[in-house]
Amino acid sequence: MPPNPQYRIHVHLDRLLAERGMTLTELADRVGVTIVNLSILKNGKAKAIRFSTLSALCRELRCQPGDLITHEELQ
Amino acid sequence: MGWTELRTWSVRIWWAIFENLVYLAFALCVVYLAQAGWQAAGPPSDHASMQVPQLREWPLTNPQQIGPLRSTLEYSATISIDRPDRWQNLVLNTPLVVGALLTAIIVFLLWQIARTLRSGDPFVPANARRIFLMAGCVAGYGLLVEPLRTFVAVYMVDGTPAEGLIDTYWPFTAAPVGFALLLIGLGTIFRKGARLREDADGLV
Repeated sequence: MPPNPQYRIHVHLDRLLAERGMTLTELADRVGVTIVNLSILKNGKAKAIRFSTLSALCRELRCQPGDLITHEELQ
Repeated sequence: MGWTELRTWSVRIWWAIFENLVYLAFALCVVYLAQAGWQAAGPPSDHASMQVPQLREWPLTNPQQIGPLRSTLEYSATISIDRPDRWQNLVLNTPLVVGALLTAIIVFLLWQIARTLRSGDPFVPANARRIFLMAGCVAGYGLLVEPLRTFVAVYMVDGTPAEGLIDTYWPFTAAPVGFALLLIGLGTIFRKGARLREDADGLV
């Protein structure tokens, strides 16, 4: 998803979900975050993420924070 | 319907009632303001009067008329003019109009705040601004309306036998100033709350 223009952070939740064959609803249930908040994160609308949420996402998606979030380098 | 749902609904109903009551009060204030405005700027009536804030001394025995000044019971006096011209009518009613205008603004701002209460999020920067404006209006009411009445009273008795009888003092009343300070405190809390809300907005 395109990042918020204020900061160049990309969230790759949709790609990770597709690779794991998991739905957003399923992930929301497993992580304990509402689907609304997870959608906000997936669509690049989130302004901040709690360590607890990040940790739970990495646990359920079996990935590292760097797989989920990347910083876009300036061209 | 669960207990939590019932509670949510009762809170919503209460805020809706509160909002409508404040709106009703605002509507009454507008009617009062219109009436005061018409009284001041419309065709003069047969008689215009205004309560005098304070006399310099009380040589008047009740009831007594000195020029346009009429003493009434219990150390109070009014400026009373029969068949006033347009200018006299306007000047005599100015404190009334200013007071009504400030009251209407205060109640309007309260109504705007009540609307955000019903929507469930009162901690918005606009509410902090509204509360600061309310504080300004309350302080203005307390500090300006009474001196304005004194000024008008002095102006109206100028050149009459009652000249010099009205005390030209600044009637400082602590209650509106204290209330304004309380509102400033509340506005500061709202501003901080709005900032915290903004900070938490978009946090996942």
